[in-house]
Order: sequence, then C-alpha cells, then structure tokens
Amino acid sequence: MVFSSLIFLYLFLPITILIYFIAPNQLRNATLIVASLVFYAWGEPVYIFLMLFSTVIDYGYGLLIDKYRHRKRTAKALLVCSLVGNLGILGFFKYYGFLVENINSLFGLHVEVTTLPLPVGISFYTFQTMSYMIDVYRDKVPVQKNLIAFGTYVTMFPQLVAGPIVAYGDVARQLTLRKITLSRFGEGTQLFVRGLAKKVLLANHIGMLWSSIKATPASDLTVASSWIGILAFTLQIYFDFSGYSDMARGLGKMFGFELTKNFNYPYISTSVSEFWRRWHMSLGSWFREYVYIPLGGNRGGIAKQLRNLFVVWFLTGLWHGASWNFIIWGLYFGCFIVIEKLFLYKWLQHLPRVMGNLYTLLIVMVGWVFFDLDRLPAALAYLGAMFGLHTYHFADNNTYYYLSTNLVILLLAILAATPLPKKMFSALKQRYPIGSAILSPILYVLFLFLSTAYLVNDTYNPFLYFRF
Amino acid sequence: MNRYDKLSQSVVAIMFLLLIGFVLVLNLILPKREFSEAENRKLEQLPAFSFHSFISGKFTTNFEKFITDQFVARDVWVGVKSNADQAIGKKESNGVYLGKDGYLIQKFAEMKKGELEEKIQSINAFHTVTPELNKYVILAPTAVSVLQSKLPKYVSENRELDALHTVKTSLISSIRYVDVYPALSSHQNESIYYKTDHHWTSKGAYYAYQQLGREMGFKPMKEEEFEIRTVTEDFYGSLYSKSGFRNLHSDSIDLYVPKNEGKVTVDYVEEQQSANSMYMMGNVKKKDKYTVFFNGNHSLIQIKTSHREGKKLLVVKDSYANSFVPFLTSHFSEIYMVDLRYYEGDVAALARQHQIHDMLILYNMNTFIEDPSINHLTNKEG
Repeated sequence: MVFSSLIFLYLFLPITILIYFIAPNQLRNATLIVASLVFYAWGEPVYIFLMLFSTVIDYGYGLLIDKYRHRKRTAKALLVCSLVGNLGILGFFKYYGFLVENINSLFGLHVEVTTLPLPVGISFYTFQTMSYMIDVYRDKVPVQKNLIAFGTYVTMFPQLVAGPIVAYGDVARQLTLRKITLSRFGEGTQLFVRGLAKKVLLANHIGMLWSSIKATPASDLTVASSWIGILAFTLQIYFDFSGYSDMARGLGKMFGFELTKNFNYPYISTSVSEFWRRWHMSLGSWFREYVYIPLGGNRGGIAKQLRNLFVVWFLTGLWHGASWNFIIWGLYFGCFIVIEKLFLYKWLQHLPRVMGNLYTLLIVMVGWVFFDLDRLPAALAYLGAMFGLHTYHFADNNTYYYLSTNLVILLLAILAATPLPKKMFSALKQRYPIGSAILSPILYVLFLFLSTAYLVNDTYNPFLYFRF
Repeated sequence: MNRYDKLSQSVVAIMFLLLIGFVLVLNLILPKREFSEAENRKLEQLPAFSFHSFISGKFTTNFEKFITDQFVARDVWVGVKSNADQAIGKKESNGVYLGKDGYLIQKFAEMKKGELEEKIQSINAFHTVTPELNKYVILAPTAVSVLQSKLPKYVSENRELDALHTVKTSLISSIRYVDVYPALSSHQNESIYYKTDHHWTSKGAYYAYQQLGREMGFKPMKEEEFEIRTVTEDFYGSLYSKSGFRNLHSDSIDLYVPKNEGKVTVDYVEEQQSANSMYMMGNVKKKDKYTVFFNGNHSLIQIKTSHREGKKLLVVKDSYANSFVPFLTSHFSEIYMVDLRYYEGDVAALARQHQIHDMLILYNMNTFIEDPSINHLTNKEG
C-alpha cells in the first residue's frame, strides 16, 4: 500500500486512527502492529513472513547479546551471526542476481539466475534491525525485552516501507510512552498533507515531463531539452522521496512518534559534502555511525580516511540498487567528497554562496543521469546531449513546447525546493497572526482536495524509491 | 510559535479527521455505479476474494481500482483536475492535445518499424490475386495533420503526411490512391473534424467524397442537393472521454440527406437484422452519438439502394466510412461494408460471390497505423 493512494487516505487511515484512539493505552502498540501488518501484507502478501521472521529472530538476538554481554567473545560472535544473517537475507533477495551476472561475465560462465521479486522495504527494515543489534552490543541502548514494543519499532507502517531509517535510540522511550494532543496530531496532519501535495501535485507532474524527454532518443534531443529533462528529474526525485518522508513523519507524529528528519532543503547546498548532510539524512547517518566510524573515520591518516570514504560511498551506491550505475553514482559522489576534503571545500568558502550552489547543483544533476538511466550507454548518451556532443541545436520547437506547457509547474517546484515559502509564511504569520491562523487550515484542506482530485485520476502515480 | 499556532493545528486536525471520516462513510453507503458516461467505459466492481487472488496480488490491485472507480463524486474530481491542469498550462493529456478554439486533437500514433511496409504489402498482395477488382484507396489524414493551425503552440506533426506519402509511392500503380489531403486542407477553416471526437464531420466526409467522385468518374452531388439535418448539438466524443479535459463546447452531428431521397435497405448480415435507414436515430440519446451512423461498426453490412442500374461497391473500412458511405448511395446500386476487425471471411470470395468489380479501402491514417486488421485482407475462410 502506498500513502499517496485513495485506499490509504480514505479507507485504511480513518479506520486505523479510529481503532488506535479507541484502544486503551496498553493495547496501542499491538493495534499499531496489526494495522502495520495489514498495510504491509496488502502489497506483499508472501514476503510479510520474511519480515516477521526477521523481526522475531532479531528480537531474539537482542536478548541473547544482552544476556552474554559480560562474555565478550560470545556477545561478539552473536552480533556477527545476526549481522551475517540479516545481510545474507538482504544480499540474497537484492544482490544475488547482480552477483551471478558479474561472475558470469568475469569467468565466462552461464549460470542461470532466477531473480526473485524484491520484498518491499527490505533495505529499510534490515538496516533498522541491524542498527538496533549493534547499539545493544555497544550498550548504547537498553535491550527491548517486550516483543510487542520491539515489533512496533520494526513494523510501524509510517516508516516500514520507505524510511526514514530510525535508530532505535531515537524512539526507544516513545515505544512505551507516548503523549498525543490534538494540536500535535494537527502538526502531524500538516506535515502529512504537505508531503502528500509534494508527491501528488509536484513530483508526479514533473515526472511526466521527464518521462517524455527520457523516451526521446538522445540524438534527437537539443541541449536545452536535455537540461530541462534532468531538471525535471532532479525535482521529481526530491519531491517524491522527501514528500514520502514528510508523510511518514507526519503519520508518526499522529500516533505519537517523533521520527528523524530525512531532508533539509538539499538543493540549497553549496558543496557536495553539504548536500549529503541534507539529502536522505537517515541513510547518511547510518553509514557514518555503523561503517565509517567503526572503520576509523578520519583518524589514522589520509590514506585510511580515503579508504574509509571509498568503502562508504561504494556501499551507499550499492544500497540504492544492484547495478553498476548505482555503484558508479555512489563512487562519483565519493570522489567529489574526497576532492572537497582535500582542498575544494576551502576554495568554495572564499567564493560567493551562489557559485557553490551552482557547482553543487551541476554535480548533483549530472549524478542523477547515472541514477535514473540505468544502462551506462544510455547515461553517457544523455550526458552527451547535455554537453552538446550530438547536436549543434540549443533549442527547438519541442524545447519551447516542453517549457511553455510546464513553466508554471517548474517554477512552483523550484520555489518549493527552497526555504523561501516557509520564510514567507512565517513573515506573514508575524504580521497577521489571526489571519494566517485562519488561512492555514484552509490551505491544507485545499491541498488535500487537490491531491485527491489527482489521485482519482490515478493513471500515473509511481513511487521512485519503492524498489528499495 | 505564537499562541494561535496550537489552535490552528487543532483545527487542521479536526478538519482532516472529519474529511477522511466523512468520505469513508459516503463511499461505504453510496450505491455503486456500473458505467461512466463521461469516460465511456465500465467501472470496476467489488472484486471477489480468494486466497489465490490475494497472494498473486490480483485482488489488491482490483480492489484499489474499485475504490478509485467508485470514489464518491468521481466526475467532479475529474473536472477539478482538468481545470487545475489547464490553469497551469498543460496542453496535453493521455495522448490528446488541447488545441486552440476548444479543439481536442489526437496525437499521431507511434509507428513501429516495418509495420507500415507490412500493411502496404498486404494491400499489394491482395491486389495481385484480385486484378479484376478495381481498387481505390483513401487513407484520411486526421486533424493533427490538417488542422495544424489549431495545434498548441510549438507543436507540429509531419509523420502522418510522411507516412501517407510512403503509402502513395509504395502501392502498385494500378491501385488508385485517392489523396484527400488537398481537399481537406483547403477547407481547414471549416468544421471538417469534430472538436471532441477523433472522426471527421459529415462536411469533412463530403469533401473527401467529392475527391473520390473525381477519381472514380462519377459526378459528385453538390452541397445544395442535400438537406443538411442537425440531429444533435450535444455530442461529446471519444477524445473528450480519453483526455479528461472538461469545460469544452460540444459538437453537432449533421446528416446529409439527398433532397431526392431514395429508398435504402440496410442488412446487418451477421446479426441477421434489417433496417430501412442508414441512421440509427435512437443513438443520438446515447453517449457515443457517432453511432447514429450504421449503429457503429459491424463485420458485414449490405446496402441496397433505389439506384438499380448502378455498379456495386465493396468498402473495406474503419469507422470513418460510416459517415462517408451515405454519400455513395446515389451512385451505386449495392454497397458492401466490411470491417476487418470483425469480419472473418474471405474478402476476395465475397467480391466474386456478389460480382463486385469496384473496391474502396477507406481508413483514417491513425487507425491504419494502430490497427493490424488490414493484414487480414488475404485471409482465407477456414
């Protein structure tokens, strides 16, 4: 089930909210688990058992690691076992095909591969449970002895399918103690509706522009058209993913959970390093906490640091997909992070912010070409169009058509990607506190209505990060 | 955070809960619809649950389709989206352009490599086995080529005319290719295509009929020899349904009835039904009013006119012919209309059986490109 769907908004959600708030406090976690299982099973009727199995096993490991905490070697062995198990499951479902393909081409073999469909959310929930077990081992968080509470942590539907990847420590207390007030529920609603609008009104729309341009053979694209196309994707993926994260956080808040923020206006960044501190923040934190720092981080000299960065960015790319273009995408950013650490970052500090911003956007947009055009030749061809290698034409009638019929949506999207609207509304609130207090609910209802109208016409509603 | 923030948030909370609760209740208690007039299709009904359909994902997919199709006030929401789209400058939806003056224009179909050549070959092959049958081919260009001035700004379309040129130069020379583009193009400022439907109007068909007359050697009737009857002004056609664009003017459908109206017998052979008119007047009350012409498409229609000394004509066609054939009743004694999408017999044998010596292939170019049935020309029965 997807948040941005009529069945979720007008069937699943009202019923779940009703049951949850009628239920007595002690039963609330259980209610949430049941609802989350229905939510997950709806889209994944078979692999729900894999997820449940994973949850129960990791709960067990948590208890064991805690029990043998004083026996260092045993505890470590248990941790390694659990990690290998989790990574094994992830590896099998997600990377097996990729691995075999590469072995085939390396050794000239023809081993048959039956690729299994990827269980929804597996990259998110396995990373979550791994973070729990590592933190229990490190004695950073108290072990969770209550299976229901642990189950809630793993399965709760707001973050089950597409993150944010929640570190156990961030929600440990909230699992057993949540206070919900009407205004807090309203805050959650606001966040949720904003996310819904981002996804349905902005991302889906712009996605159609990208689809048209992507479908054109690269040799037929003018330079301007190819840039408009990648701009469209740049905006689409941001609003798609951040919209979904906002909906997740909004829903979490409605049920009393404070989930980590996942995006912080990444496109205003003035360096690639900054970009990755503002984009998919929960993933970046995870890799920093559980891979970069354990490997030594930036201690131990420059060579070690470079090695650590290489590993982290290789894995970041790989996490996004079992395919070389994703790995290249990850390493591509890794290179720029390294270059910035070595000298570029200091240079950028001396330049006006705009320069840094343009530089970052250029690097990021070129990166997106590798991300979405999953065959390397296609990606290179597209880049060729962008840098004028195929054609002398800067723009043609198609370009003007794309631009004129999408101008409003592009401008709205670019504006919405900056903190400007938020600042404008804050300023408005300062001057007209009562007026904006009245305007605000009206705006949210309007967004909800408009989003509903577009969902009723649902012919185009893909969620890009769903294949993770 | 000022003191009104909490209040404002609480209001949002309440309104949200009321809204989703209200819609849920409405959706549960309101009766389900079977058919959408506006979209011209059946609406999804509640799917049956079975363990297998749940596991395979079929149940959940159909259930979601059901929810979307049966959503309360569906047509209102479609209208809201259409208005919002137009407000932000969108000029196409679902393969249909929103052109100037309220014209909906269908985008030209995507051509797959080799398919056009294959179809031309089918016609040529058929001609080789039926050399005694005089052949005429009309492939009507659609609005996207003829009404270029009505297309949205910066849009141009040459592929259809290029494809027509390919056909013209690839057909065997003894097949008479009747080029109706010049005739239509010279009248492009008249109402020759519907604004909300992919068909040509009766007037458009009239100009094509004139062109055929010049090629086939009969004298086409002048416009004054017809009584032009407007049978409806409320026609919202196929493109209206397909695109979802709303707030558009409807079309009128005209019938060109010869002032010297002769008698006509229309036999729907497979259905074993007969009528004494080419028009199914009751259909102007239905959604697809274009079906006033011959009640839509049928595998084989046999028309006998009062013009008893005339020749016989075989027409292999799509729905563009439905508003074209009525012009021919003053020139032929018998007309056989074959729609290859439904007809499974042997066309050559049909011509021999009824001693027909003239044949017209009449399609609109878009359907000709999209539909493979022309390749069935050389089908033998059994």
